[in-house]
Amino acid sequence: MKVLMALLSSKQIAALTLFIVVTASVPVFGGTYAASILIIVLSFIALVSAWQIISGYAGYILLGSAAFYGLGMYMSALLTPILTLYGAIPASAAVCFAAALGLGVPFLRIKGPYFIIATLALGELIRNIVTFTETNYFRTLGRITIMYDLTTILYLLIINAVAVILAVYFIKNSKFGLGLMSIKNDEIAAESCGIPTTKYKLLAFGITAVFMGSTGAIMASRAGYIDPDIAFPAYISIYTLVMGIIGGLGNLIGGIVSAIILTLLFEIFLSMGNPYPFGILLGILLILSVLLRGKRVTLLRIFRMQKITVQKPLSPAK
Amino acid sequence: MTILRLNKIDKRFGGIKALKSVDFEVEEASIAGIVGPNGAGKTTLFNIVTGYYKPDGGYVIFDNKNITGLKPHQICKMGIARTYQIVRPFKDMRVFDNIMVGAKFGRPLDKRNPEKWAREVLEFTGLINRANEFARNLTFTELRRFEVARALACNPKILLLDEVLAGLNPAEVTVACEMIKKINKEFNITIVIIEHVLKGVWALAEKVMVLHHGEKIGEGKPEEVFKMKQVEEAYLGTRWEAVA
Amino acid sequence: MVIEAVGYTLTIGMRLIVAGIIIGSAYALGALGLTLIWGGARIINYAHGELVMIGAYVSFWLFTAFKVPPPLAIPFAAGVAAVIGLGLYLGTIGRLTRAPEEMESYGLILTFALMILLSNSVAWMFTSDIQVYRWMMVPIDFFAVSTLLNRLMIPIICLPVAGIVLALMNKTWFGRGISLVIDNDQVAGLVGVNVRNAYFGILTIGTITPAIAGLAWSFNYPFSPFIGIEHAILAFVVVILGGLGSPKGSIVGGLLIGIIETTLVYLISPGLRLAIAYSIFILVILLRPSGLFGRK
Ligand SMILES: Nc1ncnc2c1ncn2[C@@H]1O[C@H](COP(=O)(O)OP(=O)(O)O)[C@@H](O)[C@H]1O
Ligand SMILES: [Mg+2]
Repeated sequence: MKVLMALLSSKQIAALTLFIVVTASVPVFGGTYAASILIIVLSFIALVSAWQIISGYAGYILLGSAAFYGLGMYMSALLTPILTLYGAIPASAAVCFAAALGLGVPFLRIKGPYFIIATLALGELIRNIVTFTETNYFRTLGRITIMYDLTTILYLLIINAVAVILAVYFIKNSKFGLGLMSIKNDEIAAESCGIPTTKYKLLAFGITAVFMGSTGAIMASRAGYIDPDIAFPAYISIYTLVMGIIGGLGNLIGGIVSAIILTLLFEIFLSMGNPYPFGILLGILLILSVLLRGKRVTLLRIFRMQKITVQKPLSPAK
Repeated sequence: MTILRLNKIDKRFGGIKALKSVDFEVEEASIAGIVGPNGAGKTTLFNIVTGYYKPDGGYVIFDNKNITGLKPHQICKMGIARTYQIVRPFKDMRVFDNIMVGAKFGRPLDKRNPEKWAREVLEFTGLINRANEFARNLTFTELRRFEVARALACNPKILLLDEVLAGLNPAEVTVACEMIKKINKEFNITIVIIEHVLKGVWALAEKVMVLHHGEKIGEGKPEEVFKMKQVEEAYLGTRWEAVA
Repeated sequence: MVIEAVGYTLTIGMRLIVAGIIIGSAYALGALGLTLIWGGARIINYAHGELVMIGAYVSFWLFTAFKVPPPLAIPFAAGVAAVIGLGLYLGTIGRLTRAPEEMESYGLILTFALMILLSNSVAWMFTSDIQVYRWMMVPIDFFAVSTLLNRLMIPIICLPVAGIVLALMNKTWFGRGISLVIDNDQVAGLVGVNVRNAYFGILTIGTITPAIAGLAWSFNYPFSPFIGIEHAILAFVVVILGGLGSPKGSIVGGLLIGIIETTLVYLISPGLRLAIAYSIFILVILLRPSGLFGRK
């Protein structure tokens, strides 16, 4: 606590406390329905904030959040019976970290737009492989998970979200963060200024995966039942990226705000029994954010588009 | 004492031999030049020294250590910094943060404070009043100085400059040359400078190597090299450019 | 014994190749559009798969509502796609400066937006249910391979359309302008090509061909509003294999991927069809990012 006090300004501590108090009191005043929506909001806050590390800071636009989210879910489904959820969360996160390091070695050598598509393919690939293994070797489509009650899940997600937010904030202001931002700007120059780019990218990818995995792990105990389509939905990958882009690449608060607004909007549409207009709205928002960039439109002020620099394919050093 | 020694460096790209058995030695605290027409292999040589390419043959000795095959960031940490012919600023970062990258990640600064060092470098290169500007907003000439500044911030023992004078007007060239000499004298940093015409390094280098089609065709003091027949032939047609 | 075994392998091989070409011709035509937009306008069209999906739905709707046979639905599918192409043109090139950096990042966001927009619009109109309809589903023998006539209709529709596009690119003045722009838009501008018109052409052709491929796909395989991703990823493989901006490369790449995919699926397991396709894609990106025929 003392360390935190030293590292954060009093304003930031106040904001964080407010966040915790408000979210934690939702089940008390808002009831189950509000709590169940808050759960989704909190998981997207965690996902998009974790996404900022590898995409917002290091510039590798990840379109495969579902891969780690789903891996976390499945690990939690397997491990919760043995370790309880409290043991399963760190264990799943650790598995995701290891998976990210392993996958990162080949994947983080892929540059720019290729990386985006490759990670999209990665999420889909894992979903297909899990489906195949489950149906052919375990003769099952899905798995029952041990459920925890709503309040427990909610508190775990609050802790999870605060942990990611703090982690991302500290990374941003650290030497590591400076290294990541240099990598985003120019990987070759970064390397020649003494930044161990491969190690940094892997570490960033790993940390992103840890928090996506922990989020998935908690959500597994909320779901009660998981199958590959629930664990690895493409929309998780897509929405996380969209929230990150609309909120601003590398903009922690922007990402959180857009996660809150977009998830609430989505839930409103869902409660009316038709989620598709939300997708259309999202598309229109994205288009507007490009067309109106730089203009001071009030609604879009929060939803400000930041310039996204896609890394160019590695060219020979000149 | 020799601080950098290239021994029989070979480099092929597919069919082209970019470097053919090139030997080169650089004395500590000296200024050395590498000249040669476009495509001679000068930049490739820097890329090999800094670890971007592995040579197909030969090795690089720096500070009595064989650094062939080390990663670029390791080589930077050992004390070799470079600039790029086509500048590579971290465009969306402030100039100050750009320089801080060198100060924090380059060769360790011992007990010096990185921020103080970064400011010192900016003052030395005359960019201090641009410290809070985004690097993308620098002018062409400023970017040239900026490249040198960031490399200098890495606290190198040896600084490799790739055509930093190209495209500058005569007045700017004079200023830049003064700056390079000062880096050499005041910071006691060895310098290797690439230029594609001999004139560029005339006033700076104590020793020059001429590359042509990947081969070393001459080496010595600038005025000696200028008189060599094979050098003249290599520049045939561009000779006037070389002299003028 | 041996002869029988060889004969058996040959028949299997033949079957796989025919099946591969059949499905590959749809990949080829679809990828033709992607490669034009990618190589020509420097925009990676993330909505590519949605165009395939839209083509499928246009055909499906005209067939079920008005009994229009799919080949006659081609102009409608093309028309809808062209409108989307126009939108893309107005949203990107018509709006943005042509700095490659801008095109790349804003093109990315716009096509991404289009992807979400289109799949959700179709899901709204037609629900997100998986759809199937039958047309020309009669058994037929073709080169000693028994197949279905509707399968055969895929190459019968796709290959001529691809041929027309290629001819358009090579034989007409406008098409050659497009090729020049793909090579180097600045030079193209200097030699008098109307670069803006060429971009418009690129985006229109680039959106029409995947829609027609989707139309040919629709009376063969089930589809839903959210099949876009798999078609997009497949097209990305083809384009990268064939080399960015190379129309011929995408045709060869498409057929090749069709054959490789059917063969691997036969050897491994049909349940892993998509997993195999995605693995090929990831391997290609890792090992040969400049394509089979590309300069390294
Ligand atoms: N990454 C590379 N791939 C292929 N060829 C290269 C590469 N880098 C340099 N070359 C070739 O090597 C030769 C030397 O290039 P370079 O070192 O850049 O010349 P200089 O800096 O002297 O103008 C040229 O023919 C160039 O085309
Ligand atoms: Mg050069």
